[in-house]
Amino acid sequence: MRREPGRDQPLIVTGDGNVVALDAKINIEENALFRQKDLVAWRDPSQEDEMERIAGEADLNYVSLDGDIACMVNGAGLAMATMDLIKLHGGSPANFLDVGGGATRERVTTAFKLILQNPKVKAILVNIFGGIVRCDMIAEGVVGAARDLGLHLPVVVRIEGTNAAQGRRILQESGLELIAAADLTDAAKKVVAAARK
Amino acid sequence: MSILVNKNTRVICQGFTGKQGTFHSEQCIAYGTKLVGGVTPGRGGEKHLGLPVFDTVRDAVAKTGADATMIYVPAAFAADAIIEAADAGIATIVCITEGIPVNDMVKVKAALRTRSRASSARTARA
Repeated sequence: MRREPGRDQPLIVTGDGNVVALDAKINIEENALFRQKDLVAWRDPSQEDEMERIAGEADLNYVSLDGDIACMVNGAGLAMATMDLIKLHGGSPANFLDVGGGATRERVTTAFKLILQNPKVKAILVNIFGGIVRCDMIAEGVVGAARDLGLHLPVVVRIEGTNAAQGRRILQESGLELIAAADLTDAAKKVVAAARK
Repeated sequence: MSILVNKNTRVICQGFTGKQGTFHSEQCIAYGTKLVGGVTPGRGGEKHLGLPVFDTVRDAVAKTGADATMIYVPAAFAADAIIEAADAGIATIVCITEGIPVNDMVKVKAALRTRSRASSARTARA
């Protein structure tokens, strides 16, 4: 457990001269929660970001942001680079989302549903580099979620790596309006343009 | 020094019989990495992917002459796995586990400082 120093507030002095802190905030490392059962019992989900909570339950790394371009990426590093590129080309990301190195079709579907719940989103960028993750599986997840949700937003897709050709074919044959991107920069430019329309 | 392994490096896998360990070991063998065995406590003496399984890294090093390890062990046990590898004299330790408690890694770093042979423990994120 890690305590953030100096965050106790308000501090009062009682009639008999004792100093009492009426509130305290502590920051607990989530990675160590498995051995902090007593602290987990204090958890109050109503104090958490609803979408981040849903993501957490699905084992997705999700952080809500203020922009209008939703991102679905595999790998934390690639997700950071993707957000940087969106910014570089004048856009603003709506979220950080890492579907993880071992993403399944179900997790991709959950991820897609999650980012579509954000009413600010105007365009979606799917950026996948398939190493362990298979691009065809990602594509199936995207198509499945888009169908379930009646997708009406522009989606820019850049997929490379394991089974990329099969993945692209699934996206093309889906009949959905998807914008293919050749590389990362191309993807960022296209999604920024799509969000401005 | 940026290249730590080559075709002669004798590699073991900790968490060998698990899902991730099995997947990546298969990939390594297909690529041509000299994988010489693996460690899964409690399963010593078995064979997995045609290679010997050992109970401890020390055992694996003694029997195979391993000089590098790749660790596919869940976060709760990953720090111990790294220290076990260093204790067994493994010089190159790669651990891919995400979500290891920071406090555990502080202990790992301190432990590795005292072991000159474990000169290059690295962690990488998938």
